[in-house]
Amino acid sequence: MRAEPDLWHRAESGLRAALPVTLALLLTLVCALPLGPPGLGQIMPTLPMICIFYWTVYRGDLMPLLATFVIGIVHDSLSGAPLGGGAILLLALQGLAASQRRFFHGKTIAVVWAGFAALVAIAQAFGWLVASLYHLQALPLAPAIFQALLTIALYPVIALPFGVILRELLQPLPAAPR
Amino acid sequence: MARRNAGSLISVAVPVRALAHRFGLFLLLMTAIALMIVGKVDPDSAVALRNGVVDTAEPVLDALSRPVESGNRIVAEIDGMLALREENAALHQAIDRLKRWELVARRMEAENAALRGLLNLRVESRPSFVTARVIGDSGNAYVRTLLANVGAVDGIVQGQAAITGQGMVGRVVEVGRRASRVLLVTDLNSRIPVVIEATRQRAVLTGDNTETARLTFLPRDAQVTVGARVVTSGHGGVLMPGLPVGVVSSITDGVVRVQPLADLGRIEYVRLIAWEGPRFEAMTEPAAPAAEESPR
Repeated sequence: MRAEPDLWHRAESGLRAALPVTLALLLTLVCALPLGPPGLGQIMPTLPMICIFYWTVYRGDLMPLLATFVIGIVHDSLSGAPLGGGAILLLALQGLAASQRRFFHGKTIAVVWAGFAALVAIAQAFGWLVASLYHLQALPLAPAIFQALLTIALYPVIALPFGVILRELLQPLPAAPR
Repeated sequence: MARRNAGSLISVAVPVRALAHRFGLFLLLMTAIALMIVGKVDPDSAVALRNGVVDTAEPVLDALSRPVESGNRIVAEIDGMLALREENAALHQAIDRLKRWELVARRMEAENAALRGLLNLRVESRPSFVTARVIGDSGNAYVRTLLANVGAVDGIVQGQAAITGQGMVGRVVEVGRRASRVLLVTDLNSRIPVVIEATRQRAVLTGDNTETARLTFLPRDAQVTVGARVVTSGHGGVLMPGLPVGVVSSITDGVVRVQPLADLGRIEYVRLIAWEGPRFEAMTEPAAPAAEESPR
């Protein structure tokens, strides 16, 4: 009699805990869709970057490194990029975000957005370097820059609904661990 | 005592966890780098994993891309409505022009058939098409590919050309069960053997991740003019010859750039061409002169 609600409760909280990774995977698929304006394919914002940054800052425990790795591999597979490149990029971003977690906590969205912009700029430059090394030639910079700008511009569009999910369905961690 | 124990446990556990986190990050980064290196050294090894992911995602992408496509179509419709008058005039002009071409084509077709009959030419196999919907595009700054919703079960094989009504857009590089990837002619890794249509000079169309592609291995004395059409040559026997690819858009410092005929930014459907290239059966036949007839 008492075990039933417990089980239900546990399943429900399990589903809630899986939300960040599920959303990140879903937005990774959205990235691969042939969306509207012509030429967007090359500068499609890297939506998983936003997801991974957001959840690493606010609920790092629900965005494990392995999930980030898998999301990176899925992103590479769908885009046709060399396998591992996207994973390196996302892991680097997550490492940077985790190291600055304490700084971001309790800050307004504008401050966090600015921080996100800085981290995306670093990660994208790193990604460009990795891709250029892989192809043994300097790749065109313009698409990489536009892609980073679009990703940064879209941050609040994704972060605001994520904020609602965080408040309503998950509890924000009280304070930074460590 | 118990309290002190718990405290010391946490003071040990927290740095251990941080260390494990850092070690995990390092380990996964190294794995990703190793994957990249393996993929570079042996590109085929990564294909199975990649195809697995693509095949798994295919139903989701297929479902998600439908409303996207409808949305795009509505926008295009409104766009078209606004330009109805101009478009109508342009279409009338185009019909007049095409009618003249139709006459020319019919005459040539008849002449061609007659000449083929005279020469007893061995006709290469006729191409067959599979039309596919585009369910994904690269979404990456460093690659230019498309995902089409057909795969091995639909008879798609690696190397097939992908065309739209305007011209060739790329070729199939990876084939999953239900999805395949088309490498666009502008991708860094794309190499297409082509000829300049009018002068029959051979070259290789090389993508470099920009909007246009470059003509490489063009003979030094080649005469190329802006506006010249570039078609596939069929050399190598993989791609069907004669598919229009693009027109020469600029020649600067010996670099010849080709603008693809198809608008690579907005492709909704592609046709994948199954074409059996010339086979060198003549080599096994006892009759010696037959060897000369086999196309090279």
